[in-house]
Amino acid sequence: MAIASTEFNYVADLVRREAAIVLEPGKEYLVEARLLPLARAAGQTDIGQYIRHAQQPANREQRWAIVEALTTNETSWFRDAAVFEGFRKELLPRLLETRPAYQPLRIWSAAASTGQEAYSLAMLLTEELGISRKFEIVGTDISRAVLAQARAGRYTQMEMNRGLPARNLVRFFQRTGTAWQVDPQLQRSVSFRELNLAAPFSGLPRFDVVFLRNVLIYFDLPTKQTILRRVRQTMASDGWLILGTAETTRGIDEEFEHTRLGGLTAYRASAEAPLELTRRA
Amino acid sequence: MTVHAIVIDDSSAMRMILRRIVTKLGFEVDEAVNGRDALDKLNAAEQVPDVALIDWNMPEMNGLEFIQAVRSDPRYSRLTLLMVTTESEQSQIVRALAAGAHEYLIKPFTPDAVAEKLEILGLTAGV
Amino acid sequence: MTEAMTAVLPSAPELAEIVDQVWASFLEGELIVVPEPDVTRPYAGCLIAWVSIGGDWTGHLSVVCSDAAARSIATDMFQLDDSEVTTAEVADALGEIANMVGGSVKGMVGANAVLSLPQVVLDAAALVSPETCRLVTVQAHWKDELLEFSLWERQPGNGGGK
Repeated sequence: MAIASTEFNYVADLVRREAAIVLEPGKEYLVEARLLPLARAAGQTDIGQYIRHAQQPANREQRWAIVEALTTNETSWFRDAAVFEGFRKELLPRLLETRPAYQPLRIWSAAASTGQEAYSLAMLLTEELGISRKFEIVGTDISRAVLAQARAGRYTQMEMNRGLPARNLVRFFQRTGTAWQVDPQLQRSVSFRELNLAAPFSGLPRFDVVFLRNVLIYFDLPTKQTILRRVRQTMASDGWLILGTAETTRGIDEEFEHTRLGGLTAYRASAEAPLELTRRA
Repeated sequence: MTVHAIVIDDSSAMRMILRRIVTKLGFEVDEAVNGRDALDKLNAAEQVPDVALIDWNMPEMNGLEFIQAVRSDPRYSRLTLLMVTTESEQSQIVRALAAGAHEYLIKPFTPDAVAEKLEILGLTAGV
Repeated sequence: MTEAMTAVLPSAPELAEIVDQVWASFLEGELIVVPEPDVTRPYAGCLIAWVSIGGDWTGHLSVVCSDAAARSIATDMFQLDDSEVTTAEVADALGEIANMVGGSVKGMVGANAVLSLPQVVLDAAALVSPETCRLVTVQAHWKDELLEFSLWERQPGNGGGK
């Protein structure tokens, strides 16, 4: 069931206006795949009809649902294993070395979606730090629907299967009915809030590490530049930015310099005094 | 180097589904219909496979018994063991890991979920 | 910690969710759950696959559908043409569906549960099961066929036998 170009254009305009996300022609399949479940839930089998219905002035909630559906990433636990290994083995020891033990580590999962990245980081830090060190993880997303699930910390069996190591499942989750519930203690180390990356940020603490993975691709260049500049301002002067494996700051924001840390490429603000990168013996 | 897998499941439909998924990842695939059959195949093989995808509930010898047999035989010390089963209780996962399973995947699963488990096990590059 | 648990059976929506996850993983086409299942529907001419669950809760999970629906399930799972699938493969595929749905149900009904290997019978009406009582039923449309998933509880005081 292909959608007409007028309907695609309407959705592309809507998503660009509301979330500054660019849907180029050729992404019709994405629109169809994401909106079909919404159309069905609304009792319609035709996506075109669903989109036309959304255009009526009164149907603001429906338009918001469309924006949410198209800004949500499919997500798995410990997505890109090499990134988490690089974080665990290279970046984390550097952070611990350069920060006093009483200072909690603050990490931002900036496209948190349903929370898998934020909880993956919380699991990793719990394993690595034990009770010796406090940490706080903030997950943000534009979509209220995904944030509700992230906060609930409840995942279906299918979601649990996506890249979550079995030992983590056993340690950090409890089965409830057909789903799995994240451990309350782990949940307490993670908070979630609504945030539109394309608008000014407010109320964020200073972060030691920012995970901004696989989300910049959705924005046009001026918006990407604005986002990276604002992200830089939320980071500690010797803090780190982590992008998706296929992404780079190059060509967008030259104030960042990159460092290879195992399988991980991390970025730091280059304007600040460079941090000593001597490896521990 | 090609990764060599053995799919151990009494359901031919499930063997076919898993074969399709790991073949797409570039693996070579053998099949066995239960734990006993798999042990026979390992015994006869010139080269031990790299990874076994193991159902739990099977006639003759179940997946847990197979894992215990493989773990007590030094010839198979490098065989990676991935349980793929409908058994979904935490206590069962703990049992399988304690017996020597390296990872655990609950049925039903999608191709991505299989690929991600194999990535955790270091058998594929990133997906 | 090991106090005896009362088995909590999945509700019909939960059973539907379990079935839906199996469908989303391995089968093509949408499964549409019937809001109010008709439990008087006769089984004549249908196939039945079931697994038995033993332990804190004792009973069966059954899948009932027409021969044509079972063949569709097999062609999807094996990715073969209809003319290529054998009766053994149809039975295997339907049995594996029962195994997966039953396995998820087992995970919900409490510790110490054991799952049997799936059984498949080509004429569901021939399977008389006087010592069980049907507690949960989900019916769903799929590719113009009606499928039925039921949970049967074994009644206390009755002997074995299927």
